[in-house]
Amino acid sequence: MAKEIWFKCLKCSEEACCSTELEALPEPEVMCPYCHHHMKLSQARIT
Amino acid sequence: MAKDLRTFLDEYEKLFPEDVVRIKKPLSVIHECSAIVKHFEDLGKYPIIIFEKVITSKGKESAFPCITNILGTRKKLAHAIGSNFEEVGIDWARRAAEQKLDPVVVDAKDAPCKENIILGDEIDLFDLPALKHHSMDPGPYITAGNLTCYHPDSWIDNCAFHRGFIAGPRELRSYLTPFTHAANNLREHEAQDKEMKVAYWIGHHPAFIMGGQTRMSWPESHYQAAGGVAGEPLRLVSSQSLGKDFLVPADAEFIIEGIMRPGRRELEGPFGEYTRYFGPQLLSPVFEVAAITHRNNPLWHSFMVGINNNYAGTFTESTVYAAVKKAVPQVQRVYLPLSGCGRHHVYIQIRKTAEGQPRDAIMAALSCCEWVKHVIVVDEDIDIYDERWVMWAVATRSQWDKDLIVVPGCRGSKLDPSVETYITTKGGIDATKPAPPARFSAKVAIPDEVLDKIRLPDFVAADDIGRVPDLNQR
Repeated sequence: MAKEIWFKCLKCSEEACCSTELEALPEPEVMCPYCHHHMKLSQARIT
Repeated sequence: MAKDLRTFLDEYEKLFPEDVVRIKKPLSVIHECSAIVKHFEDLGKYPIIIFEKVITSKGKESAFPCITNILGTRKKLAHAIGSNFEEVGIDWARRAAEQKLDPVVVDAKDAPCKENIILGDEIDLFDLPALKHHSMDPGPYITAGNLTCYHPDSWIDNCAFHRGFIAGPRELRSYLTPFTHAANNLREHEAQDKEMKVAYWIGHHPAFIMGGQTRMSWPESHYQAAGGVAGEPLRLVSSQSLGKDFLVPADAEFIIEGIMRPGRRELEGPFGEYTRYFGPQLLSPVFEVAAITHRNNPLWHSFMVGINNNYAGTFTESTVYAAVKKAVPQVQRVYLPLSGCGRHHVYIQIRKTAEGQPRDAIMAALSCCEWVKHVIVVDEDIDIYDERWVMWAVATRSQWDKDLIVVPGCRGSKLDPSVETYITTKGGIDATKPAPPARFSAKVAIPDEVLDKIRLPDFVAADDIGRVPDLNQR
């Protein structure tokens, strides 16, 4: 199902998921839940 | 003495000491307390657990113990409101709807929750024994916090569990599911460009917590419903930082007060949800904390989301029962088992007198609540609290070419990972025998008088019975 987007942290390489709702935003950011690093979704996205 | 968490715990522990476990060894809030709860669940047990020494995410021992599983079983819910195993959901809803009691407002000097007051920069939410439950949770969460807010015009209170991510010493991010009344209240505030005053109350008598969790119309007072469910008025007191007219439960263990500014959202999640999957990260309102008040020697209540969701399903039983009762008066019992996350599976027991009743029951149940996804209707000889026999009825009393109903395009749960948005496919199975006077195959049986006469303990020692492996023991 496509309700989640998976991303890989640019700092610690852990994988996590965010909501597809974030795609509606211009240049959305995500936060790694493991190391709390913030990054652009477009740079970390894996699905 | 007013009902509170302590009066409940004292009474419950005296009556059922085997169902209260105290862990005296230190355990970290980072996954370790959750591991204990999970190990108990793997044994099929949900005792009240008190973690007496909790190491916070800062690596220091918290000044406060943590308690969980207060709402862990139907037995506990029933005991809390003076009901019984079968009827607790129906009694809960009936009291909330028909026996509402106005809360009473007390002075701060009579409010135990004011015994300790922490303001401004002295606040550090990381000092609390809030748990980081699962691996992908971004940090400790408030899970058993009744998030209270008011409708901006009517000033009617609203309470509900809403998870709160502790993002900083004074910053929470609280997920307000879009359809909830707290989300409605926030939208109303934002439409008026007003900040919304909010408070979590944490730790109280489970009857008041259940009342606070009651599904109601909007806006409608949960404080009144809480009094109805508990059988006594909820004692309230003016907040510490949100004005005299923002009232909070006086006997709660903790109160966390603050504001949500219009339009302010920050990243929150992923979070291990009731579905036993991680709900994805999204933008949630920021709860800026202005004050924490707490009782002397307070107990921090944590709810193990994703491990045990009995409480929500138990209330929903009343919603389903009422809907089905109108369509099929022969309904006997309704149960939402843990296998459906306490929300998505519904077992309905009816005393079938005519063909068509199971289908009517299925349609009534499917349409009464967005959480209800799969319905199985069985006869009154099936124990709906024991899934072995529900599945046995499905195996032996249903033919899916004629006994299965599938309804696509319904409103469902956004957190169900099998739906793309929130549109879901619902369905039901008629697992009943043909209506009388038709005959059906006879169940095997041993005569009752023989079962009464030949009792296992008379032939096998109790210890030996206990040592026999369970069915699925590997």
